[in-house]
Amino acid sequence: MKKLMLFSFSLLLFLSPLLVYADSNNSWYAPYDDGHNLVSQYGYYGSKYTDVTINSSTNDISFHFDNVGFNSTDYDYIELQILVSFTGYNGNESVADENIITNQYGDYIVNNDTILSFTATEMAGVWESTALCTFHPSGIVSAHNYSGILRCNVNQGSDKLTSINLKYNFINPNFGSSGKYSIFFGSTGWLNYIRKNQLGTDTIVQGQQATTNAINDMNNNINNDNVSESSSTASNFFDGFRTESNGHLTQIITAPLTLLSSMTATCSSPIEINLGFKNLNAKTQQDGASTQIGNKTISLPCGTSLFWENSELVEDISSFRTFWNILIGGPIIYGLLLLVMNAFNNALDPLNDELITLNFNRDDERMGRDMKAMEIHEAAKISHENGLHAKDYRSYIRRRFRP
Amino acid sequence: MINKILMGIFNLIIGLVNILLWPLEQGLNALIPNLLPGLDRVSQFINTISKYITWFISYTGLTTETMSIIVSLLTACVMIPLTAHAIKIGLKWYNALKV
Repeated sequence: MKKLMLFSFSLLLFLSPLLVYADSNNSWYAPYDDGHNLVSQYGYYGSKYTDVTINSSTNDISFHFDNVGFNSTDYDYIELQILVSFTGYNGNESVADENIITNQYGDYIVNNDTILSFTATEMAGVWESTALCTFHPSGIVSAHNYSGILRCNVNQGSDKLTSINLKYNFINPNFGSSGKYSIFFGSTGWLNYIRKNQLGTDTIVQGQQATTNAINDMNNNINNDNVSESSSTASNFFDGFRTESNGHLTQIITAPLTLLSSMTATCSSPIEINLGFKNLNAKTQQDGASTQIGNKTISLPCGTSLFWENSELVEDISSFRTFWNILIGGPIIYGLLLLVMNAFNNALDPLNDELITLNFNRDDERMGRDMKAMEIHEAAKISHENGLHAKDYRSYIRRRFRP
Repeated sequence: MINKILMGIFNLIIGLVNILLWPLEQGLNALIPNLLPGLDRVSQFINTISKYITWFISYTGLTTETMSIIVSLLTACVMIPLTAHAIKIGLKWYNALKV
C-alpha cells in the first residue's frame, strides 16, 4: 500500500509540468505576483502596480506607473484602476472605484486639467456614509507613463479608510478568451495595497480615542450622579436634606462642616468688595461742601473663570491642570493618608484613648504632665538603684515611654 | 459621587443639629432679642469666610474631585478616632452596667 502511494506521488510530480503546459494552452493562468507585476488572464496582458507614498499631513497618495517591463506591442491600451475601501457608519466595508482608460491606440485621454471624482457609499446604504476620492493627474501623463495624486476625504463621522488599490492594466483583448472584465472585482487578481502606515496611524488614533473615552467615562462616573440606578437613588436620597440652617446657633456650631463644604464648592460668581471712599475733588450742590462719600465696587473674578476653566484656554491647559493636580494635590493627599493610617493605628491600640479634640480643661493637662514627670522620676530612681549607666537609663526611659 | 455623598452626610448632620437647637434658638430670640444681631454677625462672618475659601481654592487649580478626596481624608482623620472613642465608651458602659 505504501509503495502504491509513493508511486502515485512520484508520478504526479513527474507529470506536473505537463499539466501546467496543458493549462497554459487552455489560456488560463493562475495570477502570480513577481514582485511588481501581476500576470493576469482574460484580457489582461499584464498588470503593474507601484509602491504608494502617503503624505501624512494631507493624506494624499502619490503614485507613478510606467510600462517598463512590458512590450508596447503586446497590449492595445492601458487602464488605470483605482479602488478605495473604507468602513462606514455601520462598520461595513465599501469600495469606490474608478477606471481611467486610454484609447485603444495608446493615447491618453486624461490630461493635467482633468479631475476625476468618485464616491463610495456604504453597502448597507441606510446611513449613506460616503468617501469622496479625487484623482489629480500630475506630471507627464501619457499612455505609458502615468503619475498622479489620489486624495480621499473620508473624515465623515466614524468612516475610515481601510485600503487603497491601484493597478495599471495593460490590456490586450485578444489575450485570453473572455474579455477584460471577467475578473474585475473580488478577484485574487487585485493586489491590495493596505496602507500600513495609515492603518498604523488609525490604530494609534483608535487607541487614543479609546483611552479618551475611558477617561471621559471615569470623569462622568465621578461627576455624574446618574451613572446607575443605585447612584441615582443615593443622589436623590441626599438631595432630600436641606442645606440651609434655620438658626444662627446651628450655623455657628456647624461652621466647620460649612467650611469643609465650601472647600469642594464651585466658585460661580466673583467676589465683590464694596469700598467706600471720600472723593475730595467732587463738588456737591448742597452748601458748597467739598467732599462727597462714594462707593466703588471691586470685582474679584474666580480663578476658574479667569484661567483654569476659561473657554479660550481650557483646551490648552486641561492636560497641565491634571498634572498640576497631581503635583499639588498628591503631597497633600499623601500626608492625609499618613494621618489616616496613624489614626487607624491609634484606634486599634486598646490602651490608647486619645481623641483629637480641643482640651479646655487645663487642670487635666497639667495633671497629665505631672503624672508623666512622676513616672520618669520613678524610672530614673529604679534604674539608679539597679546600677544602670546613664546610657542604659536613657534607653530604658525611651522604651518605657515610647509613644 | 464622592462629593455628593460627603455633602449629603454634612447636610444630614447640620439638619440634625438644626432640629436639636431649634427650641433653644427660639427661646433665645424670645428672652434675649438683643443677642440676635450679634449671632447674625457671626453667621455673616462664617458665610464670608466660606465664600473666600471657595474663591481662593478656585485659584489653586485643584479640581472638585481632588478637593473631595482631600476633604474625605480630612473627615476620616477626625472621624476614625471619634468612632473608636465612642466604641470604647460604649464598651465601658456595657462592662459597668453588666456588673
